[in-house]
Amino acid sequence: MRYAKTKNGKPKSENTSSTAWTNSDTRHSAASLHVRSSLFALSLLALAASSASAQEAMYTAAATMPGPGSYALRQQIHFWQFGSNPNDGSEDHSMVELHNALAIGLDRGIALNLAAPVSWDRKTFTDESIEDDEGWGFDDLEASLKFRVYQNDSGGINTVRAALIGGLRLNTDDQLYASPFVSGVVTVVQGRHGFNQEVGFTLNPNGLSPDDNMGGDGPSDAVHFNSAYVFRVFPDRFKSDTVGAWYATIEMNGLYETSGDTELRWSPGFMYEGRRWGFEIMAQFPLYQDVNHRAELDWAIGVGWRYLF
Amino acid sequence: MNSLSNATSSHRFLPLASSLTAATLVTVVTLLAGCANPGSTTADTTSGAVKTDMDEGKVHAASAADTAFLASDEPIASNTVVLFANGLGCPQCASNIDLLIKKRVPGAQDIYVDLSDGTATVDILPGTKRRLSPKQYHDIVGDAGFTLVKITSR
Repeated sequence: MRYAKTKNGKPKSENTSSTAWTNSDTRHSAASLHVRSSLFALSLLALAASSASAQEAMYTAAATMPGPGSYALRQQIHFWQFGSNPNDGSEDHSMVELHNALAIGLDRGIALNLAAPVSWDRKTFTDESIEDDEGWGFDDLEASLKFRVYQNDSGGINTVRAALIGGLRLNTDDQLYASPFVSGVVTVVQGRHGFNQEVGFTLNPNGLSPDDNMGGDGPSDAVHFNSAYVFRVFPDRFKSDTVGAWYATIEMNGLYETSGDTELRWSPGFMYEGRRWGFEIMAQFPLYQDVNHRAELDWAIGVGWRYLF
Repeated sequence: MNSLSNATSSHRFLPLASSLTAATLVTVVTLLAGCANPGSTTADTTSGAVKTDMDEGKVHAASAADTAFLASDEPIASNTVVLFANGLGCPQCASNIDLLIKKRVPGAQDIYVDLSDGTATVDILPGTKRRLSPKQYHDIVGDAGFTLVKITSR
């Protein structure tokens, strides 16, 4: 899972003409509106029906999935606070994203994941002659398949699983284009302890303007490496009447872009998982940043819920 | 003026203290508390074996006869079927079995998944004509993402 998504459809003031955003505004056309209408319908579909499954922290995928004919809806609200962006001269950048995801179990060990995020954001500029830039829009749509390629259930609870994920991120800017991505994820559950490790690569052949890159969105290709540790706080042992469990989670989320930008974030959080639904709250902080082509993250927080049906 | 050439390098390690909040502290303390004692032990009263919280849950052992039974195509006539599965690691995992059984087992009335036991007990409506075989139950549990080890009925 990426940190943030690209955006589109934002009204720009004339004063921001020095930025790439305005250039994209001038390209708005009836054709792009038609594309957006179609994407809006798709996103509503995704809203109605989501990615994610059990033992999955907020920013790291897990090798789990719903069974055939079952669905997992996951909605998250993220708030990101970014610092100055060397590309467009913005001083700070706040972004709120509603991330809607649906995982559909297709067959044994195969699931389709769809994601349709919507976001609002605001940029302020050091140059006082440039008006604040504020607006909302659809983020990149994602469609991917997850294949479980390994499973070893060594005990009543203990399991080791591996999955491959491959898909497309559809940019919803004026020109529709796709960024393919692949990743591998391993999930290990040993009693109260769960570990997820994910490594992935995103090819951005037509990446966005650097102004819109929140990390991994292009124009550079990106490698992400996420690790999550999930610890079951309560109950310490499952009982026959256990219907839910509380987990503490901590993640390390790394990103390397071929532009040379490199960062490592850490993300502590809590998660409740019931039989059918779950709730999660996470924060994200930069641990290491060597970022020269886009804005740096100051901090982030996310809350989410998931429902299996 | 907004060009890359004006960018300054931001290569740095960020001070952790500045980003720590009360919530993150609580999380870290909780995690450390869990890690500090990863091998806490309890006695398994049924087997007498000492188990750590790394191997919580029963490891269902299957005899050759149990394994052979799982491949059987003979329908199970009993109204209560108990499925012993490995890999039931979390509450939501259990629902994967629950949901599939409801969809695929004719007459399934009540399904009770016991995470402590690694079992799913299926009560089937008496009089249900179409009954599933062990092989079909094996497929259902496998499709749900778990490993069926043994089936008993009563």
